[in-house]
Amino acid sequence: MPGVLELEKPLTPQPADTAIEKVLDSYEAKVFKNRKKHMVSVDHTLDTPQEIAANVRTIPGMLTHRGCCYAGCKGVVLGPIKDALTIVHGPIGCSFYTWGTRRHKGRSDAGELNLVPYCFSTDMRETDIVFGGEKKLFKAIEEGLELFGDPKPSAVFICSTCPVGLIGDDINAVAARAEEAFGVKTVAFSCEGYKGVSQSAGHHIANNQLIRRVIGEVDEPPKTKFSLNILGEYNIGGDSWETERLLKRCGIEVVSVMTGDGSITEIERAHMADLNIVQCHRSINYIAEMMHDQYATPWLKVNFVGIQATIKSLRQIAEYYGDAELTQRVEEVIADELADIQEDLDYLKERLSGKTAALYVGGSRSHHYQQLLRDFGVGTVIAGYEFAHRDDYEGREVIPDIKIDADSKNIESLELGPVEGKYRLRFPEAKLDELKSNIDSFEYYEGMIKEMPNATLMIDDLNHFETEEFIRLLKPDVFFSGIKDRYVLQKSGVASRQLHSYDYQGPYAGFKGAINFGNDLLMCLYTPIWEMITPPWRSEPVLTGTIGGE
Amino acid sequence: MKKPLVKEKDALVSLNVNPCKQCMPLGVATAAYGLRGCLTIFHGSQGCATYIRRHMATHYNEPIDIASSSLTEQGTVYGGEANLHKGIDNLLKLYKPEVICVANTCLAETIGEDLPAMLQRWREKHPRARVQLVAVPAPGYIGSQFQGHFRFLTALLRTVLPAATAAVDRQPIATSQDVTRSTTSVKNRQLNVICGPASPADIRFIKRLLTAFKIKAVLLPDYSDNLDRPRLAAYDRLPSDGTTLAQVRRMGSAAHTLELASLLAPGDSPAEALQELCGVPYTRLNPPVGLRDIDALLAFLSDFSGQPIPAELRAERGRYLDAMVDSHKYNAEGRAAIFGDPDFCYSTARMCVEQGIVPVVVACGSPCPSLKERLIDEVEEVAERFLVDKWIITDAADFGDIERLALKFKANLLIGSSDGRRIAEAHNLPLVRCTFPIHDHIGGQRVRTYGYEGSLSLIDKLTNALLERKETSFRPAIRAEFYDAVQLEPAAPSIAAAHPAEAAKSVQPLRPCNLPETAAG
Repeated sequence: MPGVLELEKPLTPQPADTAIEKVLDSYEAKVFKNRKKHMVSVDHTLDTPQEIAANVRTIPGMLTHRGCCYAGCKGVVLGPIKDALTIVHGPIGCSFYTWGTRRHKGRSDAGELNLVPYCFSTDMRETDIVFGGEKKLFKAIEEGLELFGDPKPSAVFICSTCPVGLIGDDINAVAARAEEAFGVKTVAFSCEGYKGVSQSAGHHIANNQLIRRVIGEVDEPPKTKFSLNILGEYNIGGDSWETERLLKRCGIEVVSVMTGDGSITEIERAHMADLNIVQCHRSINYIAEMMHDQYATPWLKVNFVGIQATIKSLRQIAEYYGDAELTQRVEEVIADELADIQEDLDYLKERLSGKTAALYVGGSRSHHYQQLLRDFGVGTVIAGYEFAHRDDYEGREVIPDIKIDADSKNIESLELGPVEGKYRLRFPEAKLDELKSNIDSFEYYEGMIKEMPNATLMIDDLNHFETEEFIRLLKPDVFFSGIKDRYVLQKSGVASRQLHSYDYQGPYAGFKGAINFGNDLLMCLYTPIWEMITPPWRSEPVLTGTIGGE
Repeated sequence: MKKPLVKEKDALVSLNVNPCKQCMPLGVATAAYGLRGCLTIFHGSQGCATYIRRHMATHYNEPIDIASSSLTEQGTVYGGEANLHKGIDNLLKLYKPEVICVANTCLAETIGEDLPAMLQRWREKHPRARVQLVAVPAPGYIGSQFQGHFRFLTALLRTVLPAATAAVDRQPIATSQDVTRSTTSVKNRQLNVICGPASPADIRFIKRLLTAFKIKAVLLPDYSDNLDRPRLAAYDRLPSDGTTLAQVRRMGSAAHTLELASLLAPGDSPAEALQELCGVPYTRLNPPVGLRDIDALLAFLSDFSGQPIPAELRAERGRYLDAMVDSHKYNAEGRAAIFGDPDFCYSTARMCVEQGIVPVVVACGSPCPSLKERLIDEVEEVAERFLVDKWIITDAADFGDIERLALKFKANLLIGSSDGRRIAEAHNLPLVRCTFPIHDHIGGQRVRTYGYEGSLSLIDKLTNALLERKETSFRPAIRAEFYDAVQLEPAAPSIAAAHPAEAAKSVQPLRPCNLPETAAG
């Protein structure tokens, strides 16, 4: 297996399959059967690839960490776009809860609009639910545009929450009327919380509308020879800025970022770039695919989290352009950045090597961070996604085999053909075929499992109960997850770091970011508090025999 | 003296810019944490549970468990009863709660899910289940988190207490003066104490107070431990402290109910529900913040218990007065903008008034017209004392309003939640975080405002916030006004020379306040 950590001894006190059996034992038959399919004890010795159940309904009452469709659309994909006036059409709560809660950073030069610190809502009340909220929405758009006279927002986005879809407010019609009345592009996103099974549905809905209404609108060409868009990078803690810095050092022009610190004016000309690089495959692969179909833009799956991962990504980007000077420049930048961090890296490796980690994050980070952890010699014993699909676990080759269920069918999937005059092959077909066979991430994502060591646990939609149980059984030194599960873990004596918003830290991308991460992990693991509160199970022997009636 | 500004024409009618309120389910889930062995399940989209868990977790720094019936499009169309039943089954299996609070969120309320009927049918399927179910309709489009808190308590009482259990010999009483006399004949001299959305530390203070007066009491809700737990060797999956269900059942036979809340919407008062259900008379007092309201609470407890006010508390009162004397000259320069839920705004404004801090902006996020009625006289009085001719008390405000008003009425101190931080940063104003949500600082669960010590710690924070600014801005301001102005050549007048006041303003970072200066009143 390429990249798999060479193991001298097992990472876990017991193999993942034993742990899985113990955890499943608590469930009644139906739940047992269901949850079993979401847990895989990785085994690369099998003849056929292992399969995991993903992107299916959450079992009610299980304290899932998943969010809703609206969270994926408004919170994740649209939230970071700084020059769009994003109005949440619905009661106040949902709007409040996405206000500044993800640390997608945005900055603007003087005179540019930055609406990231704002949160706009129609604050629907009972009367609006009874009599309809279309008029209020229209008025809210008018008020919002008046509020920001100059510079005015580049677009108005409307995101609807649960009740809106039910009472039948036609937000698309309101958007059309508002666009005509106020002369500002107005786009409706029907991302009611009940659609799909998780945030994932919301990503897709946001992707569809960005392709329909924003991308491809302005034909302003890039200024330099090597241009690309960064897709699926949301600039949490400044990750996008660090990635952009590296690319610029190499002489690569970033036309747009979707959507970290992003703007409509940049995204409108994304189709003019010669390459899409995809960081978070789950949330944005739809746009990569659709831009491929409409504008012939090729895409590469990259990962700028992790030192070796960053090096590989930079080299593959250079290989794509096939320019000797660029390749040379990329190698120089890599050497220079590496030299800069070497001393820190050596020290951190020495302190962190041999530790084990668990990762439970959204739809890509659980894979990316395994690569970063490996740079420090830290092995991953549990890795799971909240809302990923099977291809994120098993690789894109399984896409044709994924059974489309009713929940996914309800989310519109666009079939788009070439756009006349804008469909531009970047290389002759033969050359593209060659790239495809030479670059393993060329329009392909391998998924997470191929890099996971045998007998570790890959798990989908991990819930609160299972988290506690697996921690007890597999004893990782640190758990990387979100805010909701963080407290259970750290209070029970397991170091925990937040990977959705980095606990106010970051950036973690690129070479310098890796050192930031290593330092944060070091501080987290070696703080004196853990010596005062060793959890009982940490020192308990693992029972391997059978007791009583077991 | 110009007429104080008490009415403001809202600049925006349909657009909420940066909300100063959350939704009802958040209040329901928080109050439900005050009941021992209780878990909450939201009937609706799973995002509701996820978002609210996330926000509560960062404020209280505790794990928060809220389940969801995870309704999907199918459940939305055909009804979500099956999901809800499955959710309750799974919760029972994994967590074994004694009580389950079942709250309908927006989705379920909009499609008209009949919660009591669905729970009844669940009971029929599980006749032997001993769990207590409490149904709370909590649509986000009605009220706010403030109302949600009381709605849960009221629903709990109405569910648990069978009507007319008022078998004890008891006469109705109306005022605290009558308490001792009229309750002497009651065998069960228990006091019910209802708390509003106070911090866990403040609720712990109330508990301490009841012990100090040797009062046999049921405190509802009591999340003082569940939302501010000592570290435990093993994590307890259920809220293992708090008011027990047995205690709630006993509330119907108490001698009296004390409700510490000020601005309840009609029908939301748990004390009124107790009176209606079981004939328990009640007294409503303001939450014990600031001298007057703490004094009133202690007087009531002393009356009720027949115990004198303990020496320790008298000493605390003395220290509080002493602190007020120590900081009066700094506080008198304070011009506060106060924002949060109705009771927080009301109590904090009253405390500021006592301190000589003029609350130039009191703005609650929820609709609550009575805030203005209740506060207007005393704010007017303190404003006149310090020649402040413009100030405002308003409800249903968002942070767009609060920012505009704070600048317009020259507030120099922001008092509220973390959500004021953007205004604080943009205009270089100090922000004292002392109400939900505090998600960018640590210690939300330990914020104290109740009691002499609580109020003292709060006024110290306010005074220090003012002093910190004064310390760093005094010399440059004086220099600009009295020294630089004289030194400058008349041929090249700077802003500082021509308009010292403007110069002082221009020191502030020039990030535009993007909200228009619309005419207000």
